[in-house]
Order: sequence, then C-alpha cells, then structure tokens
Amino acid sequence: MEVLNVKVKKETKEKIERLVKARGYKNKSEALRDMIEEHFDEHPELFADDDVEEIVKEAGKMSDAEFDRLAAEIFRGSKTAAELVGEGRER
Amino acid sequence: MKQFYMDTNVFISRLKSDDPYHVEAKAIVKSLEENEIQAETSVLALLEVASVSGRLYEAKKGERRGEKERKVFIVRILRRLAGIKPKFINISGDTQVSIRGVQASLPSVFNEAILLSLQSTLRTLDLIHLAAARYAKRMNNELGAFVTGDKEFLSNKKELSRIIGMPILSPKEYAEGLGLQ
Repeated sequence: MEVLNVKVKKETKEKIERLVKARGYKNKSEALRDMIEEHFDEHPELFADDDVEEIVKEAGKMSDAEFDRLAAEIFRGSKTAAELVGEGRER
Repeated sequence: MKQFYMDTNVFISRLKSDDPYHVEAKAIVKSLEENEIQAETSVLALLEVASVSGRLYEAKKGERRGEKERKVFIVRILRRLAGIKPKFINISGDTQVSIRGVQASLPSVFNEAILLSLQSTLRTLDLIHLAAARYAKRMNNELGAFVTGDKEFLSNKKELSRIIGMPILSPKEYAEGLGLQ
C-alpha cells in the first residue's frame, strides 16, 4: 500500500477518532481508507470522463468468442432472456 | 435477403447459453453475421442491452467489485450487438398535438406509441418497440416478421400482428421457418 501524509483540521481528526471507536476500525488509517473507497464507489461519475477512452480500448481487445464466454457466465440463471429484458420494461 | 424486426431479448438469448431460445437465437445471429438475413430493431434495444447487461454484471460480480470491468462489459456488449449489423430504427422528429387546446410538442416515437396504446394494453417500453416495428414495416415492406421471445407479445400475437402488419414469431418459429440451424 502507498502512504499519504494528509493535514486535516483538529475537529476533523477528532471526528475520525470518534468513527474509529464507533465503527470498530483498527486505526484511523483503516477508517479513512474505508471512507475514501466508499466515496469513490458512490460517485463513479468523478472518474467518468477519465476512463471512457480506456474502457472503449479495453472492450476492443476482447474477441467475440472470449466475450461470449463471459456473457454466458453473466447471463446464466433461472430467468429467461425475455424475462431479464422484461424487468426493464416495468414488469 | 430475408429481413425481420428483432426484439432485444433475441440478442440476449444468443449470449445466454441456458436460455430456452439459445439454439435458435444462435442460428439467427450466425445468419446475421454471415449477411444471409438482415435485422432491424429500435434504438431502444441499445439502451435495453446496456441496462440489462450492467444490472446482471453487478448482480453476478458484486456491488463493490469490478466497476471498470462492468463498464467494459457494457461497451463490449454494445459492440457485439453492432457486430450483427442491425438497422437501428429511430422515429425521429417531433409531432405537434393539441389536447383541449393545450399544445404539446411530442417526440414522434411517443406519439406513435400513444396511438398504439388505443389499440393494445401493452406497457410503455413494449409500445415503443411496437411503434418502431410498425414504422419500420411502413418504411420497408420487405420486413417479414417481428421476432421475440417475450410471452407478452407472443400470447397476443394475433392482435399485435394485425396492428403492425407482419407476423409475430418466436425465435424457434422464425429459425425453423428459414431452415436455420
């Protein structure tokens, strides 16, 4: 893992310490790591512009046969294709 | 060349190896890839494919995992759809309507779907597909069938076929009719 040195206000530090106790984190570092990841997960739009080109490039690397294998895994399940699409049609 | 309107679920059936219509959908997609037949579908199919694949990917791989991989999957499935070279139907433009003197400018596809709601009890997005199919048939009389695995369409096929001017067939019926395997 990488190390970041971050300066924060005294009140912020105290709030983090309260969260460490309340949520049972091992230390402040773990608490901050969790909160930052949570924030990134909840706001994917923060990185939306950065990675579109990379995503398109990545998608272009996969052959149809490779993709079909992955798709079979993703779509496998008890619902039919019509039922899965139908869920998006308010059913 | 045989031409048909393809519902979104036919394409998903091709990718879903445990789907009841997988074998027939695979044969249909193979014929599309080999330019033996031609599909038309609504631009709505692009949105439906993106939506269903994103939802399923998240459900399978977990909420916190694979955000980038999920995006790659969505882009890749759209590329896969484009690979079968469908003609995407977009009922473009606006239609001016007046309801009790209140003027509204509606996207024409909505206007077509509203008109269809007078003739059937389908839900909103089903009506948009049906409107696209009816429009496509008007523009291209060679369009021979609306192919779908959707029970809602198939159970009302007689009435809906009359409305859009072409038969509504399951992938099995269509593939067998063309002798595809």
